[in-house]
Amino acid sequence: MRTRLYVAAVIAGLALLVITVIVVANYGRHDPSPPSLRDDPNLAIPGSIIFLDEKQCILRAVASGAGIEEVYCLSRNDYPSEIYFVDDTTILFTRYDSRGPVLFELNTQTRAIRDLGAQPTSPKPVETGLVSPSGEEVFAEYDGRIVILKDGTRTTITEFDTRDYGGPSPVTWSPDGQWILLRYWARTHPELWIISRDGATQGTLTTDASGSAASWYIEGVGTYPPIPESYQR
Amino acid sequence: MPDVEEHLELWLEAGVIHDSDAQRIRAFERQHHAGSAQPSGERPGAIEALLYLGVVVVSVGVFALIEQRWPDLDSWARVMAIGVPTLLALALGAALHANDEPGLNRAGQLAWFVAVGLFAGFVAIFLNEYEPAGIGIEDNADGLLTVMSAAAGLGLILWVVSPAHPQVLALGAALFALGQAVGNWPDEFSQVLAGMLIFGFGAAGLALTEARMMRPRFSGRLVFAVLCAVGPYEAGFTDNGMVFELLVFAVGGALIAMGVVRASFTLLAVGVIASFVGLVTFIFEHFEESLGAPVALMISGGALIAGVLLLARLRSAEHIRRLR
Repeated sequence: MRTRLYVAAVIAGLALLVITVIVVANYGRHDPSPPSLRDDPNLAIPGSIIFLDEKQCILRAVASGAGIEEVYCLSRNDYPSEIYFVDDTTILFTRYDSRGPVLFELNTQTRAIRDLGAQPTSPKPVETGLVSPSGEEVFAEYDGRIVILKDGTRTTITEFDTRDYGGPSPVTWSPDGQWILLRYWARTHPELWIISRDGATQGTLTTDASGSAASWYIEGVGTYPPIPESYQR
Repeated sequence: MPDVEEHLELWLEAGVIHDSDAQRIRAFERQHHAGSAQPSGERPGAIEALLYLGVVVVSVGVFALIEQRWPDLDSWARVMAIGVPTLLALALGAALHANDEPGLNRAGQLAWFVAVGLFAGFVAIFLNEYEPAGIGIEDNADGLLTVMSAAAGLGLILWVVSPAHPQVLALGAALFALGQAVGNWPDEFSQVLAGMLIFGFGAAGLALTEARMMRPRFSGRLVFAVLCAVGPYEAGFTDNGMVFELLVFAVGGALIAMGVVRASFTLLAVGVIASFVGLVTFIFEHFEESLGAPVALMISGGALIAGVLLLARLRSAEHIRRLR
């Protein structure tokens, strides 16, 4: 028995040593998340952003990070695929049922929901938000670089220390075309980051996002991405 | 005995041995069998077979329950669904180990073998449902590491209590899985980390086996020699994996040499197979474009034939001893 315990101690010791070293040294892990905007709001970032959290609730965050509120929670089986700001108090979202993609209008003050019926075609994809109101296109390179393409010229505005093909991806521009909302899949939950158009200002809006549906509203400027063309008040 | 008698008659007819030699051989064989045979336990009996059948039926029931009712089960019920069979397997193994009947003892070893796998599933489901200390399966690096560490720990404990072939196999499988879990820790899966840890486990286990500390010797040699070879082989699947591909040859050569020195066919066989697989992989990895697939296949086939001939020639300890 003594010999067997010695053998067990050697094998367990080797395993424990290696595991302790990689865990303590955080070996091979990247943490590219910018500083939290909730902890340190940046008042230069204008407007509000709506997004979905893990519980299928639509949250509305002040883009500066100064506040966040729950707007409306959908059923766990609803799986809304897209959400749009129409104005300060109206939100559109789509979800699939037996009719196909169905558009719903939500009044955030009264919580009233209006079924707008099935869409003849899928509403505009979220990707339309990747082209800014002024025609600049943003995309992410495999190595964590964020690049803006304008008139055939590529400009790298910032670079994040991420694993290859695991970096943040753009979700939408702000309506004024000065900010970009990014989604980053951290180890447990997707995060939403905001960076300025020149990449100099960066912050993490939330670490509790779900999916890549989000929309941005700035009072007096408008909303982005554009709402579906089929929507009529 | 019938085989021995058959041989004796053949040798007597051919004049290879005399009648007095045959009598002495018969007497030796009778004495040898009387001293070592365990007629009631060496071959699986009906009770042992029924025990295995019972384990299979329980396993099918558990998987059927999981398949059909899983979404409807509460967290505690999910944990119990795999926790109870795990406890039963552990208890059954403990009860059968206490039995003197070799067949039941074997069934106990197999129950504990199964228990290691069930325990891994139990820990995984517990983490998934309750996320203790923030460790869940969703963050699969932390969760997988916890699951495989727990399984390897249990495998090690059960081997300490009962150093039998199934426990060595369970320990080897758990250590291999733990290597994968460690490789999965970085953001990008690291074959080098996984492979080298597996190699480390293999080298340590083989050294302990050759020092007669790890028992049984046969399964110890087999399992840890395989880990020694598999580790560098996996590490070779990286962009700059040449050094690890060469390490596979070094390990294969070392195992062959060790097999010759220790007169062990097991080590020799693992060494030859590792060298063959390493060679084929190396040829296709680096020379397929210059040689072409047909030539690469021909070289691989030649290596396979050479390996099989070598193993056929050295198929017993006696044959291997003659090399020295």
